[in-house]
Amino acid sequence: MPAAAIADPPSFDELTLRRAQRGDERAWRDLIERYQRPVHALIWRLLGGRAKHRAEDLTQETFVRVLRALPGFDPAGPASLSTWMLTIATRLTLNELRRPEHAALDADPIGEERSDAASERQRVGAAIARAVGALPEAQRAVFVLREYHDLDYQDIATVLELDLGTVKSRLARARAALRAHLGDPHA
Amino acid sequence: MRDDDDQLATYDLDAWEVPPPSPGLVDAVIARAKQPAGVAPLEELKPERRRRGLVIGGALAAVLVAVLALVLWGTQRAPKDGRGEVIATRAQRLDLGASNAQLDPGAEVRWQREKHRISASQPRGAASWQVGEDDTLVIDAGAMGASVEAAGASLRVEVTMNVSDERVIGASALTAAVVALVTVVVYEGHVKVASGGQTVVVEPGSRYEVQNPALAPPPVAGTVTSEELAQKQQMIEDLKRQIEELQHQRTATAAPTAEPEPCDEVACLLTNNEEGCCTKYKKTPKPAPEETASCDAPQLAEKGDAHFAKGQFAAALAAFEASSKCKASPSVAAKAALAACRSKNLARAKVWMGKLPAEKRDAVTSVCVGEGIDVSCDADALRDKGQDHLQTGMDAAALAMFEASMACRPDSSLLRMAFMAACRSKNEAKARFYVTKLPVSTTTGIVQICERNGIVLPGAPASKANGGVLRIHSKPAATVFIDGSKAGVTPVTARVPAGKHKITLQVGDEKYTYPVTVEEGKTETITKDLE
Repeated sequence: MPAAAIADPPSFDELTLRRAQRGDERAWRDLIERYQRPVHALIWRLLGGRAKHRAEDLTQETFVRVLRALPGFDPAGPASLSTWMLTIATRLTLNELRRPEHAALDADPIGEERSDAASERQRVGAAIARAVGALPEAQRAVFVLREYHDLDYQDIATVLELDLGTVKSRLARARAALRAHLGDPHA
Repeated sequence: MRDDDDQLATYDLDAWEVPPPSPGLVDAVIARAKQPAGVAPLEELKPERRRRGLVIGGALAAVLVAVLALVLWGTQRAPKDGRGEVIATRAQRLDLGASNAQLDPGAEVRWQREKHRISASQPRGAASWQVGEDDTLVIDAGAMGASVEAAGASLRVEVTMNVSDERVIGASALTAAVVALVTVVVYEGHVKVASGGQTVVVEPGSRYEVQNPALAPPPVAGTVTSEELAQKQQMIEDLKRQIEELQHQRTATAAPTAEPEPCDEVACLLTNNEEGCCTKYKKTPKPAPEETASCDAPQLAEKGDAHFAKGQFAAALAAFEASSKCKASPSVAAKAALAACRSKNLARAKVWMGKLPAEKRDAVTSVCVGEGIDVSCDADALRDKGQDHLQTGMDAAALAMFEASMACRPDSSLLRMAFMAACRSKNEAKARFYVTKLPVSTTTGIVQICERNGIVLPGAPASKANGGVLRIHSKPAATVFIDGSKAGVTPVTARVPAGKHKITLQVGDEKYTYPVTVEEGKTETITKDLE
């Protein structure tokens, strides 16, 4: 079964966006409520499913920066609002991952494996989390943006400031590494 | 199944579930976003308690927000006296009313504002300062007697530590012993640097370095201004005269002795001696700046690319700026904006963002925001400032503000104001640009301002001196096009060049076109019943 992208929130209407750009608190609230799940999910997965608190902090930081930069956002520009926000979230998370103290994240468990049949899906999820978490950051970012957020190659290239070819090659490597790590799903 | 990789479709990737974000996230973000940038720490998310205290907390938050809004409003209108201290653990913005600083991680700044004077000390780290037009900022940089004074300026002050000692020094009182270098880079405005009893005016686009005398030879100016050169030449002339007088007195009062030749800097200079003890005073000719050596825009841009690829973002910014100065290019402007953001240079980032076309601005903005550089702008505030300038006769400044506002947020209603400011400030190029962006009917009065200021506007409505007036009425009201240009809705009065014109009236989808001839200095009236 393929990975469905995080449910894309309904597009943010232009009027509400304009109000948010002018600093209207109700519009801010609307914006955060609509986009908090995909942004949080992206950060969570880029962190490899570790460190829930770090993911919360980065989500908060992302939205603070989004709100402050919002007046300068051009809805008619090349990036959609959601892609723009995911870009900010990705950059903040990648910056975080480059910090030396990030090594401490490894201490947090990715997920617990349980043996009962009902938790089979959780076991698979934990295995995928470990496999994705084991990817190099550069590959992980491309993989998560593509598989879980359904960004096209060009958007990923823009978000990560990469050439299109680099995006494709990293994605191919990430998928190959994942297949090798997970083995036969039906075995 | 995904179109680009069906092999992964066999895995249930959705099984990796993500917990939902904390319920208190929205409140926490909004509370932080309302605080001035740089002073908003992460909100502790305590969802359960937050839920229980929501009613009480909501009322309290409303009061706090109102107070905060009042404080912010007051800060913008009239800066309040005060003092503070910031040690930036990450890229951080320090707002000081009309002035602000973008602190790099690790920068330490203490400040005190008294009316329009801000006294600051920056014992360590780097910060980009934006000094308001009415403010005067005096920075004690590096705690080693180097003082930077700036008014209405944009500059960057970097206090470089001796790396080997930096790790073990914790107390700022010991900082003076390990500060190796203070670098002042001026982007715009008036900046003076005083050190070692000497004051140097650092011009926009140049840098000045002050080395710690305990660690390095005396400071060497990156750019010697003509004023500074004249001062030094005068000093040398004075010293020459003093030496001549002393030598004259000595020969007059005492017999000559076989004393060794003096070996101080002045004596070496006077004797043009570059050997023996004078070698230490030998001047090394300073290479000419690259920008003046050549003006090869592509080459400078390539150099910028090379610096950027190596992560040398400040150097890349300098190269891109030199390239743009040589030959303006939107792609190089975008690179300069990126380099400015990557080098955490807020002031330059804002300048270059303002020069970017809209389609490139978003991509760069996202990079900047990701780097902790907030390049957001307040279109309404810029527009208000422009109108203030227009009312006080500062027409060029008004034009700049209107353009900045439109760059921040496209607003066609500002085109007319920008056109007026351009005409008033006698900016012919801008006036010619804006007149083409406006309907003819809205420009008549402003065109006359331009003409009074000697600006000729091709294609604009003619003045009384070389045209006539066209009055158009219709029933029902119709949209009027004069020679294909929209002129408004009837009734329309427009000044046009003498001669033949084509008038089109549009009601709904129906269009009616009439030829009309306007004589010099005459008024032609057209009334049409279109019912």
